[in-house]
Amino acid sequence: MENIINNLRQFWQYTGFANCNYQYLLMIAIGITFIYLAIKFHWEPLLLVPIGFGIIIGNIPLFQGLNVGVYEKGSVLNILYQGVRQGFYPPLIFMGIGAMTDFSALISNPKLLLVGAACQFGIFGAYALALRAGFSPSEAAAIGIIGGADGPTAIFLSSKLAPDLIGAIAVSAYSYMALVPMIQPPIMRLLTTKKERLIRMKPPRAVSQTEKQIFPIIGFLLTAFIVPSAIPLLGMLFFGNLLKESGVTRRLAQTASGPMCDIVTTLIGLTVGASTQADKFLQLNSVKIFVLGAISFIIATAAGVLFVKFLNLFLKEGNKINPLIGNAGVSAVPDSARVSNVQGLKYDPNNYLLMHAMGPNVAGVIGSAVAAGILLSFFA
Amino acid sequence: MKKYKLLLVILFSCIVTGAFAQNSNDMRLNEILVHNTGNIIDEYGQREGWIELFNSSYGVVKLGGCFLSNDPNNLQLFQVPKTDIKATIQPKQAIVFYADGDPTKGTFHLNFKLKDSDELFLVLGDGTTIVDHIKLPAQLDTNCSYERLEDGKGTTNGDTACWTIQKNPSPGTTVYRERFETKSQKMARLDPYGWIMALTDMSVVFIALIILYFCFKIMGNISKKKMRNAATSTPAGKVSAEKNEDISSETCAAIAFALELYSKENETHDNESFVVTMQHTDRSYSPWSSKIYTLRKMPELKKNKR
Repeated sequence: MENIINNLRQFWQYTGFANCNYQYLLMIAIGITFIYLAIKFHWEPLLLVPIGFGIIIGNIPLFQGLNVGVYEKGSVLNILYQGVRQGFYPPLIFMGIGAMTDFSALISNPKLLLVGAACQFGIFGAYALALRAGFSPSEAAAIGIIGGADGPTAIFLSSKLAPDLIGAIAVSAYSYMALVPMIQPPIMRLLTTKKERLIRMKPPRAVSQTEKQIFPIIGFLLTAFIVPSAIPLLGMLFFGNLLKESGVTRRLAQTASGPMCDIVTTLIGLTVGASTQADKFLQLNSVKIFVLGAISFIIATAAGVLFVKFLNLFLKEGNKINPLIGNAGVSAVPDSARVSNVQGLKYDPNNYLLMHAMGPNVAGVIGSAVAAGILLSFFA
Repeated sequence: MKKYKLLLVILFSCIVTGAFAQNSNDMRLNEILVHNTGNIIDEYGQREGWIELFNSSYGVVKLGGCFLSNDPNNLQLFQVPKTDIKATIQPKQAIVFYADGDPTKGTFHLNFKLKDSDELFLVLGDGTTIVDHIKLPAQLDTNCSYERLEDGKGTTNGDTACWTIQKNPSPGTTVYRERFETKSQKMARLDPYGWIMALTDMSVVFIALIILYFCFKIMGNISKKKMRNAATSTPAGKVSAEKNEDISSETCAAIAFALELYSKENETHDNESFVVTMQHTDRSYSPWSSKIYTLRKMPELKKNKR
């Protein structure tokens, strides 16, 4: 009998109840909140559901040595987490993004590329602020990339430059991407006049299939020669797009944009969530990262809108760009473009900006990958 | 078309110029040790003073033909053998010359010895152009070197502000501090506020995307011209070519609407991969299929009243 009681007592020590403290409970509550936001408000459900559940998984109080935790070498979760830690999930997601993205809007109006470039101010603004907040330059670079509004890029860069901060950076990046419809509109309204919001843009020209096929090849060659360190991201992005546009690899494009992208998105969300263990996540640095992430989003949005206004100074009447598409230069595809469209329709029910906003939106993806490559070449 | 050819020529010239732009001008006097009793030994087992040169460029530099001297009146005191393959220096790499006064020992043995207060010159193959020069301190301790604060960085006019005395000489490798400094620490020291990094990186992002912009602008113009030519080559196509230039607002609205529906998964669109469509709605009644409109009416017989 005594042995049974001893065994039960020992088993109790293995349970989550015995090892629990308020930090774990707080993190579990955050995870549940993510899931709630995704289900109730449809905020980026494909990301928030896996991340939310991952947070719950990662914060079950564990008895160390069971070899099941995400940080315990050789455990199943740890093996899955290597995709994040070694940075091979993000390029796979980029291939999927390339295979599902139509670059026609950008090809038909290439000056929108510059709007995508302007929005990268968010990254470098946040970098400077992160330095002031006491982070080292490589950590600051990893934090700054949140301003690119590109989850995979943020994970890729932080896995190389600041592995200890991956969890906080990834959760922050994805959270703000989900909050794009709330963060951006007030800034867009603040920085534009009513007259500017009513600008009607020239409809985009028809883009030939040949142009679409040349785009990924030329685009990759030019950007990769300038920033070779961004090859994993840019290479996969443009390769995915070539699969789509070549017209002869339909099955590959379908797999890249469908099942494969879904599998990797699920795994990346789940493992990033699981990596936010209370003892590693609940720190002052995480709070700072969240604040800096918000600031970088605000700077990026404002830079995009203001840059369009600046560009309009040099454009003839009829060729002017509606500054409401400036926000779309942060890459969060396609949410930020959708925000442009919704805001445009608010002021003119017949002014559809979605097609135009997709230009800076996809330019933002290229821009943030280039920016990540530059940071990598300086700090890696 | 001429414009595009000119652009291509400029682009090609840039690439070619860039590829061959690296030369001996990028070499720097990097570290010098005068009194050597406990530092490196040459291939003959001797300890001599030495001069380290550093290739500050990102290209290979052939040093053959250049001169080294400690005599302002004779800049051509020692010439690096012109054809010696060993005098080829890889990007961001250093090379050490022993100042033992015996050039017969090999390519890297100078024909002069170093003294305190010497003024050293690195001179191009023409024998007159000074690439770099520096005056050594009046008293350098034994086994202490005089080195640049950063490899290959700083002025070349003899200004000593970017030089320092180093108690841990590092011949042939990066300067002492850089060996133990991570890139991040170096950045924190050189750019504590992050503005230099921010401006540099934004410039690169803009340059990359501006190049893409020009490329696709040119491509777009060519494509537009081709489409116009193809359409106008047929008599009936003239009108349609003009029409094809722009997509109507209604088409844009329909596409936008379809995209909106597509984004709301499993709502009002059908599941065709790669095709965004609006869901077809079955109507039980349509005037197009109505028999009333498709059948002829039966002729009415009108009887005349008589």
